[in-house]
Parts: sequence; C-alpha cells; structure tokens
Amino acid sequence: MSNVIALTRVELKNYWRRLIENMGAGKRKGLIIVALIWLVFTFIFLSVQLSNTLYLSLGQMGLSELTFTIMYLIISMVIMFLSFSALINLFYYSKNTGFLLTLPIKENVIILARIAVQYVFSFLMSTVFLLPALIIYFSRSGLTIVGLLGGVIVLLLAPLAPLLIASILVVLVMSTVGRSINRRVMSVIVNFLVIAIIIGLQVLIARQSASGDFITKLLLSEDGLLYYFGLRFPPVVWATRMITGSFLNLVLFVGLNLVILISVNLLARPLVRNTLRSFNQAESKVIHRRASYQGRSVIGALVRRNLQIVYKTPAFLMNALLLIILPLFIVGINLLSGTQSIESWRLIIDSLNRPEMQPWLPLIVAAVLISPAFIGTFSATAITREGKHLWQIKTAPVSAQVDLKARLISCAVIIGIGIIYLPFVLIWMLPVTVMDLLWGILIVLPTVYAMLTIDICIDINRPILNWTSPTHAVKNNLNIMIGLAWRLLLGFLIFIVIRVISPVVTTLTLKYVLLLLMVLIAVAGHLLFRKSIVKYQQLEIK
Amino acid sequence: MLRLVDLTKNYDGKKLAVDGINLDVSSGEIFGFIGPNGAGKTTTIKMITGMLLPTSGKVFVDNVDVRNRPVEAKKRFAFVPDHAEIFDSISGFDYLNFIGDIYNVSKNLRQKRIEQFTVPFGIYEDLGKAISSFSHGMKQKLMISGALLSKPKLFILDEPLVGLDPKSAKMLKDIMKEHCAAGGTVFFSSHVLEVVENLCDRIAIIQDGRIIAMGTVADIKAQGGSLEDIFLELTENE
Repeated sequence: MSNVIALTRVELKNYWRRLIENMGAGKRKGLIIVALIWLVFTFIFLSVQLSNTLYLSLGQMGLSELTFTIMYLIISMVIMFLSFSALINLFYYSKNTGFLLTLPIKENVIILARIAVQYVFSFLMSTVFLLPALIIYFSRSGLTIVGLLGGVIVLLLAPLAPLLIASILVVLVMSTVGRSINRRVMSVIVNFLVIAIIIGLQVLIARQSASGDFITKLLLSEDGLLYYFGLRFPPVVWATRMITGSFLNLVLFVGLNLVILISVNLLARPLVRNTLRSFNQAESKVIHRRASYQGRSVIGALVRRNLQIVYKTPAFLMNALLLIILPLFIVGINLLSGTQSIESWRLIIDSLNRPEMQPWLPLIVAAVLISPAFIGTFSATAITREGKHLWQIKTAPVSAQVDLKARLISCAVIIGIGIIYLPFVLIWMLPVTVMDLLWGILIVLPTVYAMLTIDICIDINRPILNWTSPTHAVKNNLNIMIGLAWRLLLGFLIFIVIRVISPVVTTLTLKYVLLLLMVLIAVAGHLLFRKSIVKYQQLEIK
Repeated sequence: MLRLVDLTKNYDGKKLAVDGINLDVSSGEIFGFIGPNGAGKTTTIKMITGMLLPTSGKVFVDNVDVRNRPVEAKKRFAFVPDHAEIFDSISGFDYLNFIGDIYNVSKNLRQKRIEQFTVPFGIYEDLGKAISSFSHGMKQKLMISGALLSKPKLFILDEPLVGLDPKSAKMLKDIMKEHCAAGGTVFFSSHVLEVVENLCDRIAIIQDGRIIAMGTVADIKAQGGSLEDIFLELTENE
C-alpha cells in the first residue's frame, strides 16, 4: 500500500509541476492561477444553480432526492468518459512504464497507482458538482446521521465505480483490438467509439424522453424515475437511497465499491503481465517503404512535415478529424435525437427557404463555412505540436517567416478540408445561389485568416514544448482556451454590429460592412503575425 | 570557420552558464570541446546553432553572424545533438528527404550521398521503416547521415559517439577526418578523453562556463601527465 501511495504521490507531483510549467512564468503564472481558481468557482456556481433548479422542479413532484441522482449520474458519465482516454495514456502510453517495471514493486502497484492518480482528479471534479447538490438537498429536506454518513461516503466513493469500470473497459479494448492493428488507427477508433457510445446514449435518452407515454409511465410508478436512471448505472439507486437515510443501501453501495476494488486488485497482476507489459514490449507493425529521393521546395517540405506530425500523432489526428466533421456531427446528433428534432430541423430549413430570408443567405453561408475554424482552435497548437523536435527546425537554414508561413498553410489545409464540403451541404439544403456562395466565401476568407494568424501568435507567445505525451500538448493547453475566448469576443462583436446596423441599412450594405470588419480583423491578425515572427526568432530551446 | 566572441549566457540573472568564451576554429580543423557535466558545453553549442540566444557576445560561422543572418549561417553548418529527439513516426527516407529539401540538395546528389553514408553505417536497408523502430545507435547514424547530406562546411556534434557500436564509432571518426581533409571543419563535444586526444587538432576545456585551457593536445599535455590527469586536475582546481 505504501508503494501505491509513494508512486501516486510522485505521479501527481509530476503532473502538477508540468501543469504549472505549462502555465508560463512570473506574473503571468500568478494571473493564470487566479484564472484557474475563478474557473473552479464558476463551475461551483453553475453546479449550485443547476442543483437549485433541479431541486425546485423535482421538489414539486415530491422527488427532490433526484436532484442528487441526476448530478451523480451526470458526473459518473463524465468521469467514465474522461477516464477512458486518460487511462489509455496512463496505462499504455506512459513513457516511464518500462522503468517502473524494473523497480522492486509488485506489478499491480503500477496499475493501482495510475488509477489512484485518476481518482484524485475525478474526486476533485465530482466534489465540485456533488457537494453543492448534497448541501442543497440536506439543507432543505433535512439531515439524518445515516444520510450525512452516506453523503461523505458517496463523495469519497463516487468516482470509484465509473473509474474502475473505465479501467476494465480500457484493458479489454486494448488487449483485444489494441495489439492487432496500428496503434495510431486504434487510438483514433477507440476515441471515436467512446464518443459514439456517449452520443448513442444521449440519443437514446432524448428519444425516450420525447415519448409522452414513457414519461407518464415513469411518473405513475413508484420510484419510476429513480429506477429509470438506475437502469443505466445501478449504484445510483443505492447512492440516492443512502443519502435519504437507508442504512441497507449504504452497506450495498460500500460493498459494491469494495467488490470492484478487490476485483481490480486481483485482476491488476495478470493485466500488467498480459497487456501493459507486452504492449510496451510489442513493436508496432513495421511498414517498409521503397527507396524514394523525391525533392520538394523548402516550404513544401515544411508543410508536409507539419501535416505528417498531425497525421501520425493520434491525439493531433483526433483533434483534426473532430474539427473536420464537427459541423456534420452536430447536425447528425440533432437528426438522430428523435422525430421532434427532425421536425424542428425541417422547420428551420423551411424558414430559411422563405423568400424574405433570401438576402440573409450569404451571411448564413458565411456562418456555416466559418464553423470549423470557429470551433476548432487548431492553429493555437501550431508550434506546440513540434514539442521537443523543434530544435531541428531552429537549427535548419529556414527563416522564421518561412517556417511560420508553412505552419499557417498546414493549418489552413486542415481547416480547408473541414470547410470544403460545406458548400455542397448548403446547396443541397438551401436555395443558395452562386452569388450567395461567393459572398459567403469573401467574408470567410479574411475571417479564417484572422483566426489562423491570431491563434499562431498566441502559440508563439506561450508554446508548450516539453510535453511527454501528445495528449498533454492539446489537453490542459490554455492556448486553446485563449483562442476560444477571443472567438467569443469576435462573435459578440459581429452580433452587436448586425443588431445595430441591420435596422438602418440594406442587407447589401450590411454585407459590405461585415466584409470590411473581417478584412480589418484579418489585417490586424496579419500585423500581429508579422510582429510575432520576431518573437518566434527569439524563441529559445533550453 | 567558427568564431566565438565574448559569448555569454545568463539563464536566471544570477549564475552565468557561459561566461565570456572566446575561441576561433580554423578550416580543416577538428576541434574538441570537453568539460565536466554542467560546465556549459551544451549551452555553448546551443548558442552556436541558434537554439539559444546569447545574453551577450557573438557567434560567427564562416564570418556570418548567427544572430543577424541566421539562415545564411545555418546553411554553412549541420548539427547532430546528443539525444536523437526527432519526429520518429516518419520513415528514414522521409527524414533524409526532408533534410535534403531544407538544404536544397538535388535529387541525384541526395541519392548518391544517402547511399554513401547509410550503406556503410548498415542502415540503408532500414530506411523504409519508421524511425520509431530504430535503435538509439541507428537513430544516431541516421542523424549523422542527414547532417552530412548537405556537405556542410562546419560539422557540429554534441557527444557524437554515445550509443554507437565500435565499428560505427570508427567510421564516424574516419568521416570526421575525411571531412576535415576535404577542407571542412568539425567541432564536437565529448566526455571520452581518449577519442578527443587521438582525433582532435586542438581542444578547449570548459569549466563553470569559462575556458580554462585551450590548445593542441601536445600543448596541454606539456603541462605534465596524461590528458586525463590534466583534465581532472584543471577541473578540480577551478
């Protein structure tokens, strides 16, 4: 046990140090820590608001304890989802696994310590969401000793079941699929599978919720809603009963967690032997390519390298693929979520097909085409993606300007793939003319350019080059958050401009105004980009 | 070929990692840069190659200022670091072609040179595989082959013999000699005093960021004892 604690402590310290290092240095670090604390408080505030709303609505039906049930279920799903990819990295892609296997510690200690690391993060996350729900429930519905004890136990044990289930799933998936196919492809497939499962669940719940009969049946039967939630995750029923004061359910809940914990402990040793150890020893399938001496221009070679880094690194590839298919994803989820969604979708399409909407179509085209660049801050990791390999470019006879231009082009290629099919979707769904498309593209081009250049400037100012796993380069990366934050400001600015100008000018004038605004922002982005070239030249690799 | 003028690096505002180094390496010379761990060897090499900016002082490669004309200066040298941190999901051919593109090596010339260096190193047959499947030594040989692809005037290596088998180490030493015989220059850091002693025309010993001895091996040995004894004495006295 002491080894598990020691190993967990080292892993957590390592994680924390890296997180702090990634934040930058000096005054900026202090500001970012303040921003992080503010972010946590925002989540607590949201959680209090949500719990309060749920309590008031469910209280009217006499089901106030479901406030906790819903929060518990949501957080369990979130933990399971987040743990899945985190545990794949911790179990299989952690570079120190080989070293740890040489230490005089039992093999299951490695697995347990890694689960413990993920437990700490999951515990902090679940506390932010469950504690407010518990306080609201206890303060209004009354508190018993068993209930209080149940509350404490549930806070401590809530992350355990989803975490352990996720770890068993991870090992099962990796031991069956993981070793038979290319790791990169497998990593992408697994991530998409998880997303598909989560969306599938959402779609199922949305479809069932949309059925009036289903709701009536649930409300009429005793504990109907509770068991509806519990069907998807049984501990939720025991946890809910436990905080309402049921000692039997407390015993059941603790017992279940103990059983899962013991099972994982028993399974850990064979898991290490059969999967973790062999996975680390197994070589990827070696593909032998024929001799090639093809030459390219300097910028062509750099663009190819940047695209290869994205294509050959699962975390970056996932990022790019999600960005490319995200607009389709959103539409798909809406269409799959039941007949009402299809109906509302049809209503939106019909309203856009009305003659009075015709003048607005170029702006709608622009909004749709911008969406991949708007949602994905792909260029905010343009330098970061290089990581420790950046020395190669820094020592090569390539000017900072050419290097950054190549990075800009590479990001534009990826964003371009995400945009290129959208006009066809628009033509299929809306009565857009060639002129509408041209106007849309005219507005989109400077906007996308501004987004790409400003995001790269953000990354030049605070690149993260010391990452050990590519996931760390894109996860917990504040550059992405900063990129999203300025996009929200841009969206707000466009909204204000349209609201203020549209009542007094024609839509043609509005289009010119928006085009001018976007060109101005693109010019600002270009100037910032040029200024950042000097900063990039001075970037040091320590 | 390589001139360092009052080269200084200060990381934290307190201790100088490199403290006013002056040295001049001529064409055709093999120059060894030795010193204990943390003496400032890698920091110096990083400033020469443009990875770090000097706090003060200048670096000239073939009379071109590395800071003011980085691209021109970098065309004149090639660098092999001690740890092969290269993007390794691509194949060996991809890597060498990338270097060939960046240094503008024509297709015919790159084919000739790739074969010239990788065949004797015994890695030619593996060039079609992903670099991630290479051993440390193979990666090192790949990087050396890549560095030689552009026939640089100045060849800079940080601990080049680490991870190489005896045959490959011998080959690298021969390559370094041939490079200098053809008018090129080699500047390398090493911990292996025996190699430095046998290979270098001149050496510099660095300690706490300062050069404490510089000259031919014979000059330094004239102080009495073997190079190892003198190295240990000098670095302990400091």
